[in-house]
Amino acid sequence: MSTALIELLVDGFIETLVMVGISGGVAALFGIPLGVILILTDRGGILQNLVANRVLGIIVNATRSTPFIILMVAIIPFTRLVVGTSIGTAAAIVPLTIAAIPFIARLVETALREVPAGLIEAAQAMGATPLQIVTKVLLPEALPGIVAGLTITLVSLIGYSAMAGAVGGGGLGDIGIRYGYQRFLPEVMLAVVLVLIVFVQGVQSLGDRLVRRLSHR
Amino acid sequence: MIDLRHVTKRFASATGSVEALSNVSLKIEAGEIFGVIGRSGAGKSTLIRCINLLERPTEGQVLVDGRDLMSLDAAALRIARREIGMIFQHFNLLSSRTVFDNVALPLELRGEGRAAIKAKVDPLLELVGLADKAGRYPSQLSGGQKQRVGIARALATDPKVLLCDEATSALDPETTDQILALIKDIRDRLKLTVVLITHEMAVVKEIADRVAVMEHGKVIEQGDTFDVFTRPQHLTTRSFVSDLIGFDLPPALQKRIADNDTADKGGRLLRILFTGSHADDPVISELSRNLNLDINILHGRIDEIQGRPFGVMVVRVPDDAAKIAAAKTYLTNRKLHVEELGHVHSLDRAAG
Repeated sequence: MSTALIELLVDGFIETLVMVGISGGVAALFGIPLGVILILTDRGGILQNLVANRVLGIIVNATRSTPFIILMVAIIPFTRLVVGTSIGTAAAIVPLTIAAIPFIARLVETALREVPAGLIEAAQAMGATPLQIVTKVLLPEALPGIVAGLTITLVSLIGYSAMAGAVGGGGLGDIGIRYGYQRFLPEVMLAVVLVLIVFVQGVQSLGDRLVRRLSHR
Repeated sequence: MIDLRHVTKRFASATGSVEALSNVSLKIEAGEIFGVIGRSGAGKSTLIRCINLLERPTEGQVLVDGRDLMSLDAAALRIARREIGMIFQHFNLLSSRTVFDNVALPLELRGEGRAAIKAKVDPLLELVGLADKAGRYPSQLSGGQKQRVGIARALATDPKVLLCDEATSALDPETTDQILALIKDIRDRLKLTVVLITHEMAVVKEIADRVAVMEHGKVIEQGDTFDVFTRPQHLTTRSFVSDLIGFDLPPALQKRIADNDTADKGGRLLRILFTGSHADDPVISELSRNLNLDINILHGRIDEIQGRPFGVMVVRVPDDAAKIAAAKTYLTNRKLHVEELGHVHSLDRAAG
């Protein structure tokens, strides 16, 4: 492998890392509270509000069912509003984040649903406020599940970020398309795929290890 | 201490509405252990949840320590609930917290500082015998230990009332006895009022001072545990207590009687209940000696309820009307209840 190729891959890797890291982090910031709201407002939830629950549910489903490549193009005006441009790594982070928020919300919702109803009842019997039930019972009890969900999200984001090449987003996927496919350099393609495999493996086993450490069930 | 007045609870269901509690009134005195027994679906679980308003009654009033809980707003109710500890069948401990942190939870919710929490939790763990398990997680504990954590947690806010929701139903008999002994001990030490619901009559017999029997959302019988056990009025109550105190004849004996085995020998069956001050007297021996009566003991059980002796005995005596009348008089004079089981058919009914 030439030093030029290695430099190329290192740059691409860093760009991918930045895209996935920032979009995953920001999406978690919005997705986790959204998942909590979905649980609280659902039927039998401690803040049951079926109208709010249905509306949020529809928005979440609509976002999730839009193919990422279409979502990316469709929200270009919004992207321009947020980061000032519609091309480049920064521009790719916006649609990645938007796509990841409902994904995380649903995974968090599922993780929270696993918390036994008896624990919530016990907390209510102790005189806990709804906020205390969320922060002291629901989130800590569901933490292993939430971390597992975030791991899945990060892996998915690595895959999605390859498509960001379509808006000049950079990253490993972009290199694979431009060098490997369009310039017909199979060794570059192979290198990109190998780096991605190792990257995904690393993220997944890190996540798994964290889940094991957090889980006391 | 607890006063439920005409409490009715209806749940909406697919087919309209289901009445889980209908017009239940109960008064539970301070410092007593009050048992509520019923089969599953009888409404006892809803009843105990109405005491701390985990379920809000559709109609009626709930007074705890003289305060009408239904009139409180959400914030005042949360504070009132700290006076009411609760333990559960499945313990409901947080798996993400250690034993210490589980017991600390109600104190954290109240906004106590780290030092105050430690000063409170350590003695509580000592009280329930888990001081050496403070750093363990619930998954590392046995069922009995988990319930001890549950009890310590329920006591953390110094409640006046302890609600026990099938607290021993998930435990083996030996552990059940230990947990019941602990609850009794705590009641004596802390002067708590304890309400416990259960489907096991053995639990009621072990620790309840008074008991209410529930069926179809209603209280069908209530009173001192000893009275309810020894003189059950309602058929359901009778079937609850019969296993424990031997009202029922064993199946093989019932069959023998049904086959007229005893009638062929010209015997009559008497059931004698031993209660009160003469329960300890050598009655059978005296009867036999004084009346020259051959007594064949077919079935019997002597037990203790609330520390008072109680026994049931079914005996066969020769079919001699004069002697039987004399025996009845003798027993009645000693305030022992005697009942002639007579014919086979009436025996069946009595045993049902």
